[in-house]
Amino acid sequence: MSDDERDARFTALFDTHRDAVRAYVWRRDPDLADDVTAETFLVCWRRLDAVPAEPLPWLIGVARNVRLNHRRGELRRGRVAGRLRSEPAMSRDPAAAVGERDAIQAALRSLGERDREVLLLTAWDRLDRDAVAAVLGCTRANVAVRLLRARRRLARELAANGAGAGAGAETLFSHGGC
Amino acid sequence: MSDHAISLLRRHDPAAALRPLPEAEASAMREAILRSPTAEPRVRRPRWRLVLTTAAAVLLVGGATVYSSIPGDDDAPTVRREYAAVKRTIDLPSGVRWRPLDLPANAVFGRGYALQFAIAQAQCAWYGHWIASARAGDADGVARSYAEARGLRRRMPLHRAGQMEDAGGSTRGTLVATDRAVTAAHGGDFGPLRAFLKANC
Repeated sequence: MSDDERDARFTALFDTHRDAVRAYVWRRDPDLADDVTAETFLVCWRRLDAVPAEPLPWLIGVARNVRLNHRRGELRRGRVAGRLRSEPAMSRDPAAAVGERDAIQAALRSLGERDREVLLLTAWDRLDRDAVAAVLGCTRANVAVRLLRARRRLARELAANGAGAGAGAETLFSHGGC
Repeated sequence: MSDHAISLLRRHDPAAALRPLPEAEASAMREAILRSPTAEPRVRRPRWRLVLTTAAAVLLVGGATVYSSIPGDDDAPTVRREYAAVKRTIDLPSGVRWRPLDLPANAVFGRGYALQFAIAQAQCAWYGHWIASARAGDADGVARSYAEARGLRRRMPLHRAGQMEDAGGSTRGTLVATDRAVTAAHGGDFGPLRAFLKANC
């Protein structure tokens, strides 16, 4: 690949996917969104030959690793004692204090981190199961199992919290097979 | 609708309110990345020890392999004569003495064996002197060692691809590794020379 071709390919990837990558990070770590996005595309630039034909899962996988590395660094420095687990960003929204959002936030926290990530990659990042599997480095079948488990758990938690959204969730969520 | 969990979560997607990165910032980010170096091509790290050990093996062992069935190789008396002659053309650091040749009387040797045996000894001596001089802050010793190392390198004969082993000499890879080791030491990095010494001397 010539230098011009590299530049053009990278520019296309960056322009097409930067918002999706940034949104992925922002949902989970708003403070890191721009830094992780920049680092992710720097990795992309340096490893352009390794970027597959379907680049978004690869990019999000890189972003996930970069973000987790940031988190580990923070943990080593003891700066996030109260944020040991990955928290979706909705808790930062003032509206999250009440109602449906609050209930969803609580329910999401009850999920295992891996199950929650499968669910959120599907719901928020709109990745299909193959893409989620690519991001997490697991099989499609594993994604399906985790997604089913996460939905059911989420429904139970919402119901247990008595949230408005959760009232019908048991039935709504229980038949969403993978 | 088959998946209300997904729909519910999407209704509360925190990124729904996220504004895209402003074009100016996106452009700056993109340009900064494009200006950054790409990954270095994966160049195999020189395996100094392996290369130089192999060189030494060729010089000190392989060259002494008996090729009794190949006419034209050097016999022991010839090697001794050549060794005596070549020693007069190579200096060693003060206090260092040449090792004696211990040659089976009925063996034959690759051509140029005496020269290579002498060069290998001199490299051990001068590389060690170089490191010691650098450690002691002896600029003259460093300069002399560098000059001798370069001189020895120039005298290393090339064993060309396809030549028979008894043609003697060092492969191009060994010569390149030697050049790099000398250049690195001249730049203050004695790691490759230490590796040579540890492996060969």
